[in-house]
Amino acid sequence: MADVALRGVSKSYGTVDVIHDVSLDVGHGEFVVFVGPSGCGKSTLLRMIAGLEEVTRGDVLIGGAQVNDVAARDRGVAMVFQNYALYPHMSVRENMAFGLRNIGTPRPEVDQRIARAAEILQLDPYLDRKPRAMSGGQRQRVAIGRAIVREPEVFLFDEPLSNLDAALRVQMRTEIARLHHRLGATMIYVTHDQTEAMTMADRIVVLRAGVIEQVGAPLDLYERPANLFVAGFLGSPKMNFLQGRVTSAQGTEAEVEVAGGVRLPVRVRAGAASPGDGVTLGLRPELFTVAPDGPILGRIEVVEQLGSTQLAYATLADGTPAVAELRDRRPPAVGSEARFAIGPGIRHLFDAQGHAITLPEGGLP
Amino acid sequence: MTAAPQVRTLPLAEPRTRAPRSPARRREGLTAFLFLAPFLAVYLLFLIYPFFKGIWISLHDWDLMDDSIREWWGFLNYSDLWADPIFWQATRNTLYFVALTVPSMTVLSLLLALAVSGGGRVRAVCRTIFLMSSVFSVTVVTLIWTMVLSTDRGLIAPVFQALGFEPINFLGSPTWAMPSLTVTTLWWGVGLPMALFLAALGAIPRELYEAAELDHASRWTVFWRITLPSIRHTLVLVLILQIVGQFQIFGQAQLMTNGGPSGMTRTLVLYIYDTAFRDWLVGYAAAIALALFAMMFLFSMLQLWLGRRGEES
Amino acid sequence: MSAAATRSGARLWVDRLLVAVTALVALLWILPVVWVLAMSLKPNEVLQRSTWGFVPTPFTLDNYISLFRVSQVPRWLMNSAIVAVVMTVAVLVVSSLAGYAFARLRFPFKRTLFVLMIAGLMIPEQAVFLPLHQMFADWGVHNTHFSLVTPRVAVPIGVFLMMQFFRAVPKELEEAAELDHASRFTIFWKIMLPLSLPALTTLGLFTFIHAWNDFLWPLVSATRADMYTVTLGLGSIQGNFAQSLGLGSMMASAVFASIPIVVLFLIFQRYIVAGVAMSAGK
Repeated sequence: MADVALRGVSKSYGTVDVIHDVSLDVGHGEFVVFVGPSGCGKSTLLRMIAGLEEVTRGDVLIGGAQVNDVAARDRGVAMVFQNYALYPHMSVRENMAFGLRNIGTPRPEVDQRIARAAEILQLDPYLDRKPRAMSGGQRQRVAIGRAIVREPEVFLFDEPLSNLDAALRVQMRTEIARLHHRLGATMIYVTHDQTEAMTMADRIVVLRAGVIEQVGAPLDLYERPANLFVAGFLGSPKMNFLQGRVTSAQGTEAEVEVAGGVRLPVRVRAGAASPGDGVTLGLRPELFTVAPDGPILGRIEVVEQLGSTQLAYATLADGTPAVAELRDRRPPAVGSEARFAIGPGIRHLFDAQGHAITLPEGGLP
Repeated sequence: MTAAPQVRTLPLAEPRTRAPRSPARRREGLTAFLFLAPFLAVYLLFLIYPFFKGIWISLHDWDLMDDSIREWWGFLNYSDLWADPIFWQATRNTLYFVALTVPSMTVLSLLLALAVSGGGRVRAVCRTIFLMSSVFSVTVVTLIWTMVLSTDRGLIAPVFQALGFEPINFLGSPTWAMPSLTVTTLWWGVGLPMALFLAALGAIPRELYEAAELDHASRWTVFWRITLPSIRHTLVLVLILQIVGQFQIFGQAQLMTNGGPSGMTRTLVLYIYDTAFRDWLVGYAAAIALALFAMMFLFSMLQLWLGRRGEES
Repeated sequence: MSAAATRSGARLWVDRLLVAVTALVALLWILPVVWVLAMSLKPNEVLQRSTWGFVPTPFTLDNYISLFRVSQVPRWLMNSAIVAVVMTVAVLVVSSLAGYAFARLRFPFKRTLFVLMIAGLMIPEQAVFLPLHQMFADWGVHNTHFSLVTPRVAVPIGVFLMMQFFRAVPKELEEAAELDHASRFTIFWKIMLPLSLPALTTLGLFTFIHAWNDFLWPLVSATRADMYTVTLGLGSIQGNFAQSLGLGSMMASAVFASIPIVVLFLIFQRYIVAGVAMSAGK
């Protein structure tokens, strides 16, 4: 098992830069997820690590050695593709054996590795089937199996679950997580789905337009997003953003005025806020509760009933949309006016440039 | 570990720090060469080189058999060609043939494609029949049709006689010889353009027809406003292929009429063949061949240009 | 009955009429072939008197039997078979290799070579058959199978077809194979080729038929009767049809010469039509 390091990596196509100066360290056995919207460069970054794309500037290191000029096949990586990329005319067994046979691995060892992978992924009944006779989930498992038998230094996953239906995706997520624990392998996983990132990663790398926005453990990113983008990207439903102004700031205590004159206390980094500053207040939906005497007025547009929780989509007094996560089997009716209170929990404050100025330990009054 | 949010730098076109020709790239180039070598070898040797050699030969007095007669003539062959009445006759004949055959072939193949597109056993059998005639070789086709058109032993002559008419000597008549070649060529060649049209017709999305149905469109309207526009590209393709193909007519002219009667069916390729292999004037024949090539090239470019013009309008 | 119903009722009848007319045309279309077939099964003497009739009575297989005993048709058939098979194999090998290179490999001058290849599509055989004839005469290889096969092996259309097909294979398959330590050739041989079977079949069929029916080149290159292909041979006996061979025998030769191709066509008709559709996409 090796670690992966990126040092000032950039990629351009002609004069168009798609990756800007990315540096990252992935440790031994870590499960790191690259996440971001389409076009953010996460797949490109992954393919540069794999050796399928050339690096314009910077260095890629695997196991401490620079591999920029090393061919993909010699880097000791295995990749699981979004479209599985299984060889359609070969059986599952042949698909898995192909790579090993190309380097002359002796037959008994090939068989042994295939048997082990098949056992881990429950592929035994399918070993002699062709890919076209298998479902999407099964094919993805074969693709993973093909990666396992290579016993690579690093596993690379390029949006492997995007083509599967929702239920299957949930199932495969847990399988991959279990696989990681079993093998203890270094895995780099690319996805656009923030749920996958949150649930599977040891650390998440959030990317936007070829730049790393933030790196950290899932809960760190969730509770302490460094900027508006990360705050809005992670967490479902999205964080509510209310435009407002700082009314007072003393050391780490500040007060913000939002939506129709509502004033809320927030804890900020010392000196980061001055009265009069335009700011954005970030409140997660679970912070909103319906309270008859709550300070925030809004009109309910849509109510989504999820069983144990309800999502109330409302428009606030100043026209800002907001989502409240409620635990009320009888939520307010659609079209009705409701009052919201802000419950205990982290209040995020972002300055005019979108950077977080919330105090790192939390913004509770 | 939380990285501070990175400030995006303005994208500058910085020079690459590594040369683009990495060892991997060089290896790929070599592999590519190995893959291409067989093709390139045969291609250059048997197509490109002969083409230029043909030009070279056309600038000489070149005898078929006698090695000693290889005199440089410059453009003499071409000036002779310009003044040669037989060349012009052959050109007129070829153009006449193309004018007869290309439009009728295109229309016929389209009609047949329309007729056999769709399901059903009967249509499938008809499809096979119309395609099958294309698979015969030119010699089989000419044999069949020479027989069919024969005045004393043919298929058509008895029909004439039964109706009380004198049977026409198709292949021997100055008026009917070329049209007879056209009919033969139609029977022989409909298969490919018909298949092209079938493919194009099959590619028209069903929804277009269904929407038209709901819009109470008549069959005729559907054909003019939906079917035809959708297959425009194929139409142009078929026309180009036909023009290029029919310019090259040889077998039918040689075997059925041998250029007769009195040179009425002497086509350009037949003239080339006779000049080279009967009269042994290879240089002159090469010049005719290049003139033919130029004509074909011009026509297909014209066709392409017109086709593209039509698209833009 | 509503207007729509009468319309659809009328539609149905028009449809039926169209099908009937088409069937009639098809019948007339195939009539010459049936006629020739019938003549081939009648004795020569009968045909001297009258060639009319679509049913072979009186019936005889003599014309076919004499084909083997007297004529050179079997020999010609063998020549055709050799030439067609060798040419088909050669074209498939050459075209798939070059097609893959154009589709997936990077190399210097790629664009130039590509244009050069496309340019070749414009050169008809009539523009090169004379100089080719001279070249082969100089090398002394006329009247050999070699000369009948080689000029046709580098067909740009074949390369183009294979290139289009290979382009359509998802790149990820090759990337996965690359990560699986496969060399370029292994990728070509073990992955691309097996996947391209439909394209190969179509190209092979077209090439075979083309090789079999080739006329102009064999005419100028094969001057000895024992080197004729069956197509050429059939052309050579047509001139003499008034004479000794006899109509029935000649018809039998024509039928016999066509059987392999027609059989191939009937079996693989699907591929031929599909191939046309595929190349129409270009």
